[in-house]
Amino acid sequence: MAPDLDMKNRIRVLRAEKGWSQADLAERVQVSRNSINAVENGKFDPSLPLAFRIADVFGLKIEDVFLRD
Amino acid sequence: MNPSKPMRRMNIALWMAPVLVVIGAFFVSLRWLSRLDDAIVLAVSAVAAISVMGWSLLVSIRHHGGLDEVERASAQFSWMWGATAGSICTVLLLMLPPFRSFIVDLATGIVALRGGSEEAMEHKALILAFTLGFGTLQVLQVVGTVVAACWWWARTR
Repeated sequence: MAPDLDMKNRIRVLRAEKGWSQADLAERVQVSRNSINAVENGKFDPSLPLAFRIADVFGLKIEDVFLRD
Repeated sequence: MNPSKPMRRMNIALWMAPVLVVIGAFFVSLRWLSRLDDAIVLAVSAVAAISVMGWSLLVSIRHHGGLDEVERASAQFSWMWGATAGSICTVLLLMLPPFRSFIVDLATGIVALRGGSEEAMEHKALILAFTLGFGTLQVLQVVGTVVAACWWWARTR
């Protein structure tokens, strides 16, 4: 079995820069606040479409939001 | 825009209301049903059961369509592990003689309330005991799913 690939993200920092709460980001990405919380804290690895949507709302490339640990 | 949490809860409550009304009406009319012919009781029970299952399926499909991928992963995890744990617990529970005796005694007691020939009562008690065993499986699967959902929620918050 392939080993798990650890990922980290910059969602918390990017949110702070924009002055958005988790609920604000959730509304923009069209998911629940709990889902944003799970992704932001690294408890859930998002699918590529969701990762792209998150990157899009920040106006960044996906690799600027999600990084290999 | 995502609806607020109270709105979502209200929406779920409204969608579940018809199921609760049918179940409530069924239990309220039990005394009346007990005086009717077996065939009519079976027909009423079947209509109530099919209505509840059909409506529940519709609500589930509609609700599932509104979930995001994290919520779907949560539902998948909860059902997979919760239902499996519930099934295992049911098997273990049914292996215990006191629980088996409890189900048989309960079924026999309920059937005895209506009376009838010994052969007919035995037949009905057998069907009821089987139904109660199946009901136990359903209840424990739901309990297992709720516990697994709570575990997922605690792990991802």
